[in-house]
Amino acid sequence: MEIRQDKRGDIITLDLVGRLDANTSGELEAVLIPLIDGGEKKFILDFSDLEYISSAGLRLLLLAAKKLRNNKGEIILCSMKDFIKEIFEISGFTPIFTIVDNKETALDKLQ
Amino acid sequence: MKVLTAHIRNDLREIGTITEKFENFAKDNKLSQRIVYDISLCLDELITNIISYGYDDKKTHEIEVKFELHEKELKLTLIDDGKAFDPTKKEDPEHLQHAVEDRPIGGLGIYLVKKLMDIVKYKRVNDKNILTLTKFFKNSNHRI
Repeated sequence: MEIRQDKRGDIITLDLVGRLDANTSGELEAVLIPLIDGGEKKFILDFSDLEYISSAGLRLLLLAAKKLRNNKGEIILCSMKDFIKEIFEISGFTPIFTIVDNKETALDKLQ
Repeated sequence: MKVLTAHIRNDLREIGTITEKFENFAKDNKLSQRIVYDISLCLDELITNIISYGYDDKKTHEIEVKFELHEKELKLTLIDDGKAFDPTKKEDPEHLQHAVEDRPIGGLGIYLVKKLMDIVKYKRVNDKNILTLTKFFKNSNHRI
């Protein structure tokens, strides 16, 4: 998968492109977890170009959410495709994450 | 009825191979993106489980994957010679309503499969796991 990273003020945005599955979740983990462990607290994950997520991807997102909860940080997911949103709902992930329609709304919420 | 049968090795990279074969089969038969997504996810979760937890040795094993497309349903059969494992007996995670601090990491794959498919049947025959999953086409949106 491709991960495009951007920082505006204290907000880190990661655009995820491609598939988040057992093969690729390690790539996101290698980027996201060190940022959280390094003290960054505000994250936006943009799902506009995310085509697929499996339980391996969900597991990583839960790990990130747990770490951020401990650090009093926040993560917002945006621009999620309908079928990915449904996987979040089935998994009971919808109440855990703030999910918004687009990046602008996510930025507004974190600023 | 259209049938696609494939045999893959117990190597996680084979998941991409089988997914691609299924995607081509789905395209030829004009199945919707939605059906393709649900089936691909189930394939991924189940084959990942078989390959990761099914074998005690380091030998090469074969997994048979069969798709049967009927008028109103798609049937998927997975046959492997790994350890006996009945996913239908696996209890659903109890933590779905828990707050993030309390949720254990993991245990979601088989739960997703059971939620996305309409029927999941398991049998053990001749030291093989045979898992049959059926997805009903509930309305007209299963084809493009």
